Amino acid sequence: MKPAPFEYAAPESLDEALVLLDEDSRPLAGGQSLIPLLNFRLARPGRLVDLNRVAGLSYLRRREAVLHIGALTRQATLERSRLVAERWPLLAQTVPFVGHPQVRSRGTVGGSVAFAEPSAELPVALAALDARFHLRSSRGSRTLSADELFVGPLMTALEPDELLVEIEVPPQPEGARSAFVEYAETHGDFAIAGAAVVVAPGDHAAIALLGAAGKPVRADAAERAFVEGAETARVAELAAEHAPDGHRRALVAALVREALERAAA
Amino acid sequence: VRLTSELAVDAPLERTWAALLEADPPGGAWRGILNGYAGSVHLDDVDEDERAAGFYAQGRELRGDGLASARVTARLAGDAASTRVLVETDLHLAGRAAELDRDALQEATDTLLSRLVSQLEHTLAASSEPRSPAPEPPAPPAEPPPAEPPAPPAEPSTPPEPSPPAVAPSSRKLDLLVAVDKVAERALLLVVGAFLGLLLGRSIWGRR
Repeated sequence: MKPAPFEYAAPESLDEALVLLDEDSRPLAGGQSLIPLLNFRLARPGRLVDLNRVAGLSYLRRREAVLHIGALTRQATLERSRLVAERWPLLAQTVPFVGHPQVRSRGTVGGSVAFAEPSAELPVALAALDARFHLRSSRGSRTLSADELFVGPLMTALEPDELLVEIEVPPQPEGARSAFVEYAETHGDFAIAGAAVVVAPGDHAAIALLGAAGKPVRADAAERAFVEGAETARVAELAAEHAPDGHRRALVAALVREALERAAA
Repeated sequence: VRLTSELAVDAPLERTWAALLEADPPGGAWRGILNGYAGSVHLDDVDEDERAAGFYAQGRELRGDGLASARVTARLAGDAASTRVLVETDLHLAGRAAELDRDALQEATDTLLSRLVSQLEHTLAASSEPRSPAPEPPAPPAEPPPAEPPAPPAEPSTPPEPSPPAVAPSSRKLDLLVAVDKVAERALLLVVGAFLGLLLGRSIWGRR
């Protein structure tokens, strides 16, 4: 099938792009999720605002220990980055699970986040990393946490005229270890469940779940239990309580256990 | 193949750093054709705290099956007088280029990087002299203009590029920035040249 007719705009500056965004328009970044939706006519925006010509939205920058990710940064760039692999290994561990290499060469980090596909990997990793999300509109700007941004499956707190412009990731604690694991029927397919963990000596534990709640969730009770020295099995069990049914609970528990073991290895 | 090279640029650290980063490639990558290779260079990441930048260069032989890609990390250190650049290259070759041995690659890389440095120094020196009142970018307060490089070969600001530079100097930038831009642009095309053109083209043909 082909998409329903739509108007196409390709602004060259962020300000121009923001003016074009409204109820009836959708921003187009890498197009790896949106274009299939258009083709199946599951989305019928009146206008596509192509962001690919907007300058200055694609970058990976470490400044004062914080990682700044431009929303239009390709997933492949994140995957190649030595800076990211050295200092935020969880991101490097997670990206290979996003689709296939062809998808990642086009797909963007911001797109993955703003689309909020419930089985998307990057939002879960970013939730585990305590990322902050910078939104802009012609009305102003605001910054949200993962918990505030992700509302439900394919739903975010982004207003129709708002654009995600940057993701900020704080430095990782000293000695942090991390892992990302997921379960999908075949590699590259939509994941059914997954877990991203970051643990560090002292009192740091972040456990974010994929497929448990239709949006990335932090398993806070499990995190507390981990910090208090609970056994891995107990931590995994607590994390699994976020999952809706028996099957997923078992999956989440197994994946959290595996992620914690990998991070400790 | 992993290659490392160290080189010295006769320009202040801040300035070399700015030159490396100020360039803002249209469409996210510099593209060019050099020595039979069509290549592109993409600035992947920037570590402002550590003065390091990661580039990704990719090239395809126009007539043939040569394929090359490289992840290049440049780490800068230095002071108000000079800059040391440590270049780490992770090179992947396929096709005919893959037959080159490591020493040949290292040699070609070093030759090219030293040429790049003299060109960079020359242009930095040239750009700092004629236009005096141009407001500086985040450059250092006082910069002793580096001594005029002895060799005349590197041309000043408008050289006949060997490749069609698909880069229109963005009008919003100041004169000086444009000059700096060109350095970076040329440097990067040279990196493409280094890893994908000269290195592969010339060294292969030269050795047979």
